[in-house]
Amino acid sequence: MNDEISDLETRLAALKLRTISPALEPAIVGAAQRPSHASVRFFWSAAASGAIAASLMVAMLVAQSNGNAHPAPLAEVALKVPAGSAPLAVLARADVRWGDDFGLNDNPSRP
Amino acid sequence: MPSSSESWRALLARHGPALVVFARQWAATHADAEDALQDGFVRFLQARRRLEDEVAYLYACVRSAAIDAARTRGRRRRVDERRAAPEPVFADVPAQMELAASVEAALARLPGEQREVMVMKIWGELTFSQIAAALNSNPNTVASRYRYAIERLEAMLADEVRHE
Repeated sequence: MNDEISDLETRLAALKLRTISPALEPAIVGAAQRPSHASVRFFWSAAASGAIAASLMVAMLVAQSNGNAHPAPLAEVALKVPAGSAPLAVLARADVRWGDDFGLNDNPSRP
Repeated sequence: MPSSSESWRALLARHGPALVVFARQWAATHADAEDALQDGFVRFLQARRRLEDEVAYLYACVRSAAIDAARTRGRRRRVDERRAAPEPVFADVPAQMELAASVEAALARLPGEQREVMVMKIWGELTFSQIAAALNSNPNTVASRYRYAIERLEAMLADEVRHE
């Protein structure tokens, strides 16, 4: 790098620059104290995301509570015990293994 | 706002006029350049991460603000703005008027990457390392751009003298 200052550089550096407006300094102070565009954008995007997440959660909770609002009567879902059969036999029918143990799966048509 | 509020005022006083000349590369008027300087300064003050060199970072902030403003203005440009008489970049000093006008015309003909280095070096009095930091470039690259700029400017000014 050649750091020697030429005559042209000296003449250029001697050119007087225009002064800046005195209003610039208070304008900078005022503008710097306002929230920046980036922070405003960040705030609104965070707020919007939070609102969407909250709405989704509320919607899910409402849907869930609506689903459970009128549960089927216990009598409908309860295992219907045929009259006269032992409860154990009814339970055993639910599982083939138990049925074998209790001789409930005996089918004469089966080899 | 940074804690050293006096230091930014000192930076503004020290570098403000040169920063306006720097911003004029992308701004048509002195007022537009001052607006870019204001935006750049605000970016500088609000930035949480700083470069090692505050002056280089300040120039980088003003440069980016001036380029952004020029893009926005470009989209909104009106016919009367294009017809407006160009404003001088340098101060109105009778003894320097001729040279100032010639330099301004010659600067306008330089490639942007040479012109910005020249403005930062001559009027901003930045070192090549500072210019490189502001432009995110290499000190040798900016030094060579500066050398080319000086040579071209010298040739253009000499041509002008010959034609007179």
